[in-house]
Amino acid sequence: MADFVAECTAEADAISELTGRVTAFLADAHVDQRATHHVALVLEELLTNVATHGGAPAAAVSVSLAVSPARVSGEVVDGGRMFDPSRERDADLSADVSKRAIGGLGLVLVRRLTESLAYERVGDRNRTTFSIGRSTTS
Amino acid sequence: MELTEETRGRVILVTARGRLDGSTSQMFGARLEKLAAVPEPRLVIDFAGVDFVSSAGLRAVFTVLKRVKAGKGRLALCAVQAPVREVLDIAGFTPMLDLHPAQAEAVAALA
Repeated sequence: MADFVAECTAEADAISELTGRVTAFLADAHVDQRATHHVALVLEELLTNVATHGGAPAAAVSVSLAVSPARVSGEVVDGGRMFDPSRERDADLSADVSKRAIGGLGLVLVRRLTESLAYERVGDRNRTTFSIGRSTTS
Repeated sequence: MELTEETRGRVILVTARGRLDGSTSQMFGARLEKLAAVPEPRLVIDFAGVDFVSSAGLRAVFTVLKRVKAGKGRLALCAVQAPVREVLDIAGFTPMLDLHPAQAEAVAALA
């Protein structure tokens, strides 16, 4: 059972507003600040990718979160073009400023901040699920 | 995202407050690039009031950095909050940036 459910369009202002609501929800649920920040950032990146790669930024994306003692689990479902965030290549982080390609950073962050990340195409929808561990120190 | 600017001798000090994400990074980048469009720009951006930076924000910082370097100038960031520092570290940006814990040191370093 999801604890937080929302829909938003994959447009920058709507995404920003949603992640603000998620931050408040997780704080109320006593999730530690670090995990809260990571969930908000992962959602920001996944939703932004729906706009960038999905081809239909005005279409609704559904977001749901479930909070359990050890982790926050999330699901993003959108009706955009097929885009599998778990398969994209990482950006080259070792090149210097003049040579760095600047694309792909969002997914680098998503992969590093999540303890699990999965994708499936369900009918005409992309379903991305992830989990982020909560702090185990009291 | 709010930006305020002041000059400290040769240094332009920009204080940023709010989120640097997809909805604010364009404005941020445009404003900073304008400030960097002088010969040998010396820019300090105070990040004490920035609690969230996404990849869009990182790209904006990167673009400003490139502009500053192209003008043979210097860019420094100060007072970066821990969650933002973590994002800079993960993205591999930290070695490229001149980071200072406090505003006074950053301004002094570029003066």
